[in-house]
Amino acid sequence: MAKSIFKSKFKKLTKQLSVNKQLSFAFALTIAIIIMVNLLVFAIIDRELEDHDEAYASNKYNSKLSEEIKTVHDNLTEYVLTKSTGAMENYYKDIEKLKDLVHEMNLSDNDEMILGMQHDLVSMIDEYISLTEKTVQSKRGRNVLKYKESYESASKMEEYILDYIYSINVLQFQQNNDRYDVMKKSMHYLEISSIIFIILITGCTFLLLQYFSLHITVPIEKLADNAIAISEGNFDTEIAVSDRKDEIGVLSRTFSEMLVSIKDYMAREKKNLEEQRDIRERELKMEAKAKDAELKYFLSQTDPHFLFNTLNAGMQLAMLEGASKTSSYIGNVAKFFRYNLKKDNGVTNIEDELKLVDYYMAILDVRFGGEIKLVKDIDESLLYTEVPKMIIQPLIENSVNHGIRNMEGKGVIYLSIYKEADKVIISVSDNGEGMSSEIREKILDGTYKKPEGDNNGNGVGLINIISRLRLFYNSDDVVDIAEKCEYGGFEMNLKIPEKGPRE
Amino acid sequence: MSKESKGKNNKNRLSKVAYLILGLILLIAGVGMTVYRIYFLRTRMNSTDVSKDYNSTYVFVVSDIDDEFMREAYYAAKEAGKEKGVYVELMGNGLRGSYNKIDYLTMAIASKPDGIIVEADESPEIKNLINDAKSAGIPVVTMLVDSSDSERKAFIGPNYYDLGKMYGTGVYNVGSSVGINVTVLIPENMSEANRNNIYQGILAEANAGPKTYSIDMKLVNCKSMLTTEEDVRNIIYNDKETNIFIATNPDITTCTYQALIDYNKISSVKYIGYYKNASVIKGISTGAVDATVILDSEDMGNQCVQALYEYINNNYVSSYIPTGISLIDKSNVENYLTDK
Repeated sequence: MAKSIFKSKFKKLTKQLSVNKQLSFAFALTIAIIIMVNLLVFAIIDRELEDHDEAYASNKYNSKLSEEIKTVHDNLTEYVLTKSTGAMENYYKDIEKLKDLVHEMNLSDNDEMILGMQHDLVSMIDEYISLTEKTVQSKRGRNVLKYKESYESASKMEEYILDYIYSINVLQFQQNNDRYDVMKKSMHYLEISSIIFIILITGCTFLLLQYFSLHITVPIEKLADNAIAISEGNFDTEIAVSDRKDEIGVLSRTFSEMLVSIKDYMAREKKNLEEQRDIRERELKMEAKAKDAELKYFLSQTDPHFLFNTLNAGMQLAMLEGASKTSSYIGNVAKFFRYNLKKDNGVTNIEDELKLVDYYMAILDVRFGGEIKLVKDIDESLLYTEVPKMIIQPLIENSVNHGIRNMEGKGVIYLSIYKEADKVIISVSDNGEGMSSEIREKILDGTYKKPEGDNNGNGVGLINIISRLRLFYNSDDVVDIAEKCEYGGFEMNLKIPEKGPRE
Repeated sequence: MSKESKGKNNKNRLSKVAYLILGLILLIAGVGMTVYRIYFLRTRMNSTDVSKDYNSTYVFVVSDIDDEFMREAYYAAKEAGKEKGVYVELMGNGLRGSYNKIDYLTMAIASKPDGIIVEADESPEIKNLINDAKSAGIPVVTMLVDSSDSERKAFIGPNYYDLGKMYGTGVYNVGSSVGINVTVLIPENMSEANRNNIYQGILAEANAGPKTYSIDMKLVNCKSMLTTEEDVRNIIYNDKETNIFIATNPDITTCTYQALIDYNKISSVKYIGYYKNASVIKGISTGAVDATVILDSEDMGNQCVQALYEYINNNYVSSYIPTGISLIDKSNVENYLTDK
């Protein structure tokens, strides 16, 4: 619990710091850890070195004790021999020193045998001191026998003590040597373990640093990934908005806000475009409907069945009266109108269209007394090509009405059907007046309007053909009006795709 | 799980692992260093604080601290002491100078122990020192050899009559193939009473059979190994009649054995030693030595501590405590060969 609180507080703290401070913090922390580890290792090594120093302290002590015993005994001897006050003072001074020194004896940290000997030594020194005191007292009391005896005992005791100290010293030296070897070994292990420890800590510190680095770089990498995704058009990328208070937090929040703005702008633009398209679509539909209404108007101007029956009656009458020419004429007119009444979904082939042209030309022959001539150049293999209905005859009619009706001399209309690349070309030309380039442009782009009082509907007829062909074949490249006609008049070429209408 | 959250989880895991490793290493390092210190200090302090582990100290004084028999006795005493919280110190052990029993006893008294165990003798110096110790409030028990006139509290050692009987058994066992002349080599400083006891013991056992042995006792100066050797060699060199030699202390045993070999008498006489060591045991197994009488060293060491402890705590102890005696000959030498 406490750990998690600490962790969350730590995270909060690091999130509030600037990137620079976060990096400084990470480096400071790692350096602090390494310094701490080094200090720890140094402290242990220092302690080891102190132990080394202590190792031979007992030997130093022994030699000091030995010297002090000798000094005391020298003073005693001098006093016994000279009875001088100086020697006695020195003796008492040194006895005190000796007592202090005995108190300093380290009675621990030794093996059993040395310790036993040290205890003996302390008691023997005690005994020695009392013997020397006895000697001094006897000497002062001039009890020769007594001081001689106690002096000898003291000398003997001094001899034992010195040997004891020497023997203890040798044993301790051996013991210290063993310890020194142990310490040397332990120093070696310490060295190795310190190296391993420092390597491990360095590794961990590297991991810690890596953690800090990830803490900083991961959000940036995420932002970069988001930016790449957005640049590839994926505006639906989810941006995790960071609650950090540092530069990275600012960056992620502003980036997220920017994405939202872009999305809004794009949605508005899309809506505008859709609205414009709808308007255009509606306009086109209205236009088409108007044209459709216009066509229906034309077609409904006469009752075709009534006309057809009337014409048949006229033809039969003419035959009864023996007027064969009249009969043939009326027959052609009847066939001409019947063609229009065929229920064929508005699709026919070139052969049928040419038949209609023939009926029409037969009618014109009568009307204009053979003044208009039609020259046909037809590739027979193309006769069964499917085409929309009523596309050739209106062209002939257009040539008659606008090209050659008002001209002087004989008018000739040229109809040729041939194949060019993957298209069937239906070319109608004449040697009439031709067409101004202005009208030609208007007709081709569909903006031509019939002049007031013109009831022929010729230009409108051409526009009708063009727009029907364009709709039927779903292509703009279906018609061409030549600027200059080979025969001097008007020339229009229909380019019918051989493969039929495009899907 | 989305890729992002997966990445976040991985990152969290990484940081947790990093923390864990760091914590673990610091812990291991801390514990390791501490254990290392403690372990090292323990190896350094691999010693016993006499004043803490023991309540009192007894000093074990012998004439030769390197003697195998005495060492065995000392170790037994030390073990017995440990059980009672008594530190038993072998006086002179570890000292560089060479000293005699009197020096050791003097040092022992000066070191003011709670009790002294001494391999005594009947000399007046030893007697005086034992009395000095008593004056200083230090109870003394003697072992192996007594100082019967001193103020020692108890003697722990062989019963000399029993000892003599054990020799007599040896004579009885080995003497059937040889003559009846037996020479007993006795240390000069052995008390008259002990000598008589030994003599009576031998007579009692050896003459229990059909043979009647003539027992002669010869004194050997045992002040030092050199005098012992000199005396033993003289006796053996000049002797023409003895059929069975009996040695009554370790030094005499060793010297007699060597002299018998040197004077080429080993095959013509029988020889019963005292005390065991590797060469004596080997001698028995090869037939060069016929038998040896031994004291139970461990029993003796143990009894010494028991006696002192009893006296210090109850202010009373029996003045004589016998120790076990046994005879090693060809029939049971195997047991001792397999011993250490």
